[in-house]
Amino acid sequence: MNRTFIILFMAAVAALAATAQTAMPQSQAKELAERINTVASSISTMQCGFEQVKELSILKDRMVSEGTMCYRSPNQLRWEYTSPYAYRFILDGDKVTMDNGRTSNTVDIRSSHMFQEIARIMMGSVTGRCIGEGSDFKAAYYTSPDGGWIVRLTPVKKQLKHMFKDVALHISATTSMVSEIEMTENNGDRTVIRFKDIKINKPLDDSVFKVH
Amino acid sequence: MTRFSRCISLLLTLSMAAAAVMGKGKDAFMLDEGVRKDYALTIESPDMSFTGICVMRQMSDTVAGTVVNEFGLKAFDFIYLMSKRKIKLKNVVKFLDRWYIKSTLKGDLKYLLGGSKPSHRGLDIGADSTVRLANRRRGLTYIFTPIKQPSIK
Repeated sequence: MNRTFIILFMAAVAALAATAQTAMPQSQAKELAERINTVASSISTMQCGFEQVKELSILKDRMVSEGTMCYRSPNQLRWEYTSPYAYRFILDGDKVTMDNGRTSNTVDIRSSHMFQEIARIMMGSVTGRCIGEGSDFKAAYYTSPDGGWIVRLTPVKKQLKHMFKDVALHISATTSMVSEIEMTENNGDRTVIRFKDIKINKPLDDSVFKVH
Repeated sequence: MTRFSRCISLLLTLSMAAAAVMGKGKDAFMLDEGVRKDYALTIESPDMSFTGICVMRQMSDTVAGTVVNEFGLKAFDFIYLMSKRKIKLKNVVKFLDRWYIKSTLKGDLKYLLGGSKPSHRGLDIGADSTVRLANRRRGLTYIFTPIKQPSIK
C-alpha cells in the first residue's frame, strides 16, 4: 500500500513538472523575442491548416472547428473556417471582410482602433512578428516542458481586457515559429488553435485575399 | 348538462391551444435530454449584425447553452430552468452587459425555449430545422441554422 502510494505520488509530481512553465530571465527573453522576430521577418507568405478547440465549461463539453489560414506580408490574412461552419475573415490592407456565406460585412480598420489592434494581434500571433511590442500588451516569456517557448500576452487596455484574459503563443523549438495559440477568457474557458501542414514562402494568388 | 359540457369543451380547447402556444418555443429546437445541438446564429437589427455559434443541451430540468463568435470569443452563457420558466445569463461580454440588452435576450430566449406568449414575437421553423425568431418590438431577427459538430478527437 505504501509503495503504491509513493509510486502514484511520484507520478503525479512528474506529471506536474511536465506541465510546468518556467519564467525566463529578462536577457534570455529579449534574445528569444529577437530570434522570433528574425524568423518572422523572413516569412513573406504562410499557409496552413488549423484545428480550433473551444472549451464550453457551462456544457462540460468542447467545440471543435477546422479551417485554413493564408498570410502574406505585410498585411494580408485569410482566416477561413471550413468545418463545421463556414466563415471567412479576410484582411486586405486596411479592409477587413467577415463573411459567413449568408451575410458579408466589410470594415475599414482605420475607423476603429480596436479593429486595428485585432488585425495586429492576429498577424502577430500567426507569424510571431513584433509580439509583445506596443503598449497594448504585457509580454511574459516562459520555457515550455516540450523544449519550446511560451509567450504570454496580457492585455493592458480595458477594451481588450473585457474580451479575454490573455493569449499564449507556443513557439516551436525546431522552427522558432508559432505552432499553437491559446486564448483564455476571463471566466477561464480556453480556446486552443493548433497549426498543421505549415508551408512557408510559397506563392499565393491575389484572389486568396478577395471575397468572391 | 349540455351547456356545462360546452363550457368544459371550450375550456379544454382553450387550454390545449394555450399549451400548443406555450410549448411552441421548446418545439422549435426539438431538444432531447442529454443531446447537444449546435447552430450557426445570426442576430440582425437595422443597425447591426452579429454572427456566431450557439450550442445548447437539455439536462433534466435545465437547458444550458452558450453563444460565441466564430473565433470562440464568448458573447454569453445561458441557463433555462424549465420548471420555473426562468432564464439566467452568465459571463456576458462587456458590450452586451446592459440591462435593456440582457432583458431582451432573456425574453427572446425564454420564448424560444419555454414558449411564453408570442405577443410581439414571430416564430418560423424551416423544413431544414432552421429557426427564425422576429422580435418586432426591438426590430431584431434571430436565425438559428443547424450545424453538425464533428466527432471530438
